[in-house]
Amino acid sequence: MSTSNRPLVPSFLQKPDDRLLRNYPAIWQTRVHLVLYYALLVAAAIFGLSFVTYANAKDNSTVGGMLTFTILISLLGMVIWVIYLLRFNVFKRFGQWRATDSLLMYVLFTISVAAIISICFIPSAVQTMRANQQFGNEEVVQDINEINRTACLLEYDILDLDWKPDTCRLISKREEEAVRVSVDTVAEEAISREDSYTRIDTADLRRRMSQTDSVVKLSDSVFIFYSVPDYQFVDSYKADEYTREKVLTSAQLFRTYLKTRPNPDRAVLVVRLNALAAKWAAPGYQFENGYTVYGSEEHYTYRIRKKYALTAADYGIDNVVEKKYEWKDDGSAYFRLLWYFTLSITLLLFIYRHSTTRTFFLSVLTAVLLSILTGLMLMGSGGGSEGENFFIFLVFYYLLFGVLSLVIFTARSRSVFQGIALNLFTFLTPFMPLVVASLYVISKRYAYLHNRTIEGSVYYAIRDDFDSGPVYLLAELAGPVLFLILLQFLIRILYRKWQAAPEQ
Amino acid sequence: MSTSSHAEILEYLNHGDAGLAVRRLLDYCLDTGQEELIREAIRLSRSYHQATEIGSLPDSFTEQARSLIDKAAATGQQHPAPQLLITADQVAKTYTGGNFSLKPISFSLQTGQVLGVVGENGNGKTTLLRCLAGQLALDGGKIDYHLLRKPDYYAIKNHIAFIPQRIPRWYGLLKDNLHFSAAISGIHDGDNDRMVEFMLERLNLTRFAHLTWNQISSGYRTRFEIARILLQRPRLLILDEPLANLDINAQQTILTDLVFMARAAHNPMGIVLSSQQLHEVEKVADTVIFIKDGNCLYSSTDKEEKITSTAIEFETTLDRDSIHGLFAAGDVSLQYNGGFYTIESTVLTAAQLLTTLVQAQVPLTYYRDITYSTKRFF
Repeated sequence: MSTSNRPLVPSFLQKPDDRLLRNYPAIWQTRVHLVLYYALLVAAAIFGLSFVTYANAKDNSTVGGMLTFTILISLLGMVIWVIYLLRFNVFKRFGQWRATDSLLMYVLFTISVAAIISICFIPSAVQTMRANQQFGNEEVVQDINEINRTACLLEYDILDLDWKPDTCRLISKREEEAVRVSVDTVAEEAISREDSYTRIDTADLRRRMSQTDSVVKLSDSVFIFYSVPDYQFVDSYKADEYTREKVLTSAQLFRTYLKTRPNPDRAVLVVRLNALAAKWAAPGYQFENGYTVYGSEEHYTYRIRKKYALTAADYGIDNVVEKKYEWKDDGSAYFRLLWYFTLSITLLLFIYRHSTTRTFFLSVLTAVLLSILTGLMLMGSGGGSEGENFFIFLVFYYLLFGVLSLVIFTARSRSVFQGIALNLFTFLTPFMPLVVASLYVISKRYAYLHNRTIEGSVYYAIRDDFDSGPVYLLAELAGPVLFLILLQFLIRILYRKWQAAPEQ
Repeated sequence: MSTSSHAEILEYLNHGDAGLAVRRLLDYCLDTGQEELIREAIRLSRSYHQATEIGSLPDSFTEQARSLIDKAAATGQQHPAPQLLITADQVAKTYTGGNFSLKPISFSLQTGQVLGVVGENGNGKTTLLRCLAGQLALDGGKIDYHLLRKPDYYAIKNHIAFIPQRIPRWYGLLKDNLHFSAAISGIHDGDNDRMVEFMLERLNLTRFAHLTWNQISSGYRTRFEIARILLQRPRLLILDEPLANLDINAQQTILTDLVFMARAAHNPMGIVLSSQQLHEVEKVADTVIFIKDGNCLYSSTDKEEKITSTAIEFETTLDRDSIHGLFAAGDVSLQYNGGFYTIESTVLTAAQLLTTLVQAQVPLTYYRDITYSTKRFF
C-alpha cells in the first residue's frame, strides 16, 4: 500500500489514514481522526498556556480574554474542517454504503464538532483546577473564620454590639388602611413617615423567619426580628457550600466571642491576622480611598478592613472561591452549552451533506421566513401567558414537515419542497421532545392557575410544588435518542430516496 | 475472449504497437481475475511507460509481454455472453417551461455495445442521456433496466454512471479520490490499491496521480473522471460529450479503450455517448442515432430502409464546373459547403464515384464515404 502525502496529515497518521480511506470511507471522509488529533494538540497548547496564565488563583479572573482567543481558534478549526467536508461532497451520494453509515457519520460529526467546541472550555477548567490545587475547600472556610474571629477579638472596643430590631405584623387585606398607621410601633427609632413599613408576602415572611438572627413572638400576629451587626470582614458567597465546616455568621461570632469582653494576646493575634491577610490578598489590589460602602469612614468595618488590609484579602478569597466552584455551580450549564452548540452545528452539517446546496439554503430561508411569520402571528395572538402558542406552532410545523417528507416515498420526481420539508423535519426532530415537555409543563401550570382564582382575578404565580426539572431532563435525553432512531429507520431512507429521484 | 484477444495482442506486439499491446494486455489480465497476473501487467505497463519516457524499450519487454500473454491465455477465461442491458421504449420528455420536447425515442442496448447519440447543440442529446441516467423524470414511455429487479432510483443510479460534459471539480489528491470511489463501490484493502493502480496504468495517468485537479489539463480531468467511474464498475456508462476536451490522439485512444473495456469479461457494460465528433463515434458505435429538434431522424439500425442514395465527401483544388464535367448529367448532385464537396447519387456506388475521380486524376486531399453516416443530416 503506497501512502500519499496529504496536506495536514502528520506522517504517523498517514498509514491509518490510508487504511481508513481504503476500508472505511464513511469514517475517512468525516476526517474525525484528524480533527481529534488537532483538537488534542490545540487543547494541550491551550492547557499549557492557561496553566501558566492562571498561576495565582487569587488574581482577578481573566478567563474572558482567553475564552475569546480559544473561541477564535475553535472557529478557525471548525471553518477549515467544514470547508473540507462541504467541498468533498461531489460524488459521495451513490455507492455501496452500509445501512449504518449515515448513523455512523452523524455520530462522528458530533464527536468532531464537540471536540472542536470543547477547546473553548479548557481555560475555565484549568482555572478551576489551579484554584483547587492551591487552596483546599476547608482551608478557605477555616481562614475566613479565623480572620473574622481574630478581627473581632482585636477590635472589640470599636465594634457595634447592638442588635437591630424589625417589627413584623401579619395583616389581612381589609386591615391594610388601619395597619398603615399602627405598624412598627415597637421600633426603637421613631418612625419618621407613616408609610415607612415594607410590605412582604408570606413567602418572604417564612424566609425572614428562617434567616433572622433572633426572633421574638409578641403575639400570633406580631414578631420582632433581630439582626446582629456585620462582623464578617471577609466572606465569600458559596465559600462553604461544599465544605463540612461552615463560615461563622455574625450572630455565631457574637455569641461565641463577643458576648463578654475578650482578653486576647494581642501581639500574637496581630501577627496571625496580618499573615492571613497577606496570604489571601489579591495581587495588586489597593484599599479604596474616599468612597466607602459603610456610610462613614468612622464605621468600624471600614476601619478594621483598612487597618488589616482585609479588603484585598476579601477580594482574594472571592476570586479563589469563584474559581474553585465555577464548574460545580455552572458545570451542567456549560455542558448544555457544549451539547446544544454541537447538536445544532452537527445537524446543519448533516443536512447540508445530505441535501443539495440550493435546497439547503432554501431551507434556511424558509426557516427564517417562518420565524418572522410565526412572530407576527404570536404578536396578534398574544403568544399565550407562558408562550405555549409558540410551542404549538412548532408542533404544527413539525407535523407538517413530517407529512410532506413522507410524500417522498411515493413521489415520481424530486421536488425542492420535499427537500426543504425533509431538512426542517430533520433539524426539528431532536428538539421536539423539549417542545412537548414545555407544553406539558405549561399545562401543569395552567391547571394551577385555574385553581387559584381568588376574588374573581387569576392568581399569577407559578406552581411551586411541580418540579419541571426531571421532565426537561427526560426530554433532553429523549431528543437525541429519538433523532438517532428516526435517522436510522426513516430520515436516512428519505434522504436516499429524495437524492436519487429524478428531477422534473 | 481468449484466442481472439491473445492473437490480437500478439499482432500488436509483432507490428510494434507496444502501447496498444500494453493496454490490451492489462485488460486481458484483468479479465483473468488473477491477482498475480494483474500485478504483473501493471508492472509491465509501468516499465513500458518509464521506457517510453527515456525513448527506448528494453529488449526484454517483448519477451515479458509474450510470457504474460501466455500465462493469461492459460487461465482459459471466457467472455460472458452479451446480456440485454436497457430498453428505452418511446421515451419522451418535455421541460416544464415547455420550450423544448424530446419526442418519443426507442432503442435497446446490450452489454459490450456502444450507442452513439449525435446531433447539433441544443437538440436533445443531453436530455436523452439524462433520462437514461435517471436524472430526469420521463413524461412518456419507459425505460427497462434488465439487470435490475424492481429497482428504485438509488439502485438505478448505482447501476449507471453518468459523466456530464462539465465534470464537477475534485478536491484533494486525485489518487485519494480514486481510492475513495473504489472504496464506496465495495473495493477494499489490497483490491482497492490494485484496482486504482490498474486504472491509473490503463488510462496512463500514474504520473498525475499525486497532483490535484488544478494541476491537470481538462483532457486529463476527463480521463480521471473516466477512471473514477470505471472503478465503480457500472453496467451502463453514459458519457455526454466525452471527446470535447481531448486532443485528436486522445479521442481515438479513449474511444477504443472504452470499447475494449465495455467488452471485457471483468465488467461487461454498455456505453451510451453523445458527441459532435461524428466520424469518431461512428467508428466505434454499434448503433448511432441522430437527433434534431428532439426528433430521432435516423438510427443506424434501420439504415437499409432509410438510405436510398450514395454520398461521398471530398476535398480538392479542382473547381466546381470541372467536377460536374466528370459525371453524366443527372447521375449526381454536387454541393459545396466552403470546405468539402459532397456528391450524392442514386445510380452510382461510392466505389464508382471514387474511381471516376481517381481516373480523372482529380487532386484529392480528403475523401470519405458518408452514405451511412449521420453527417448527411447536418
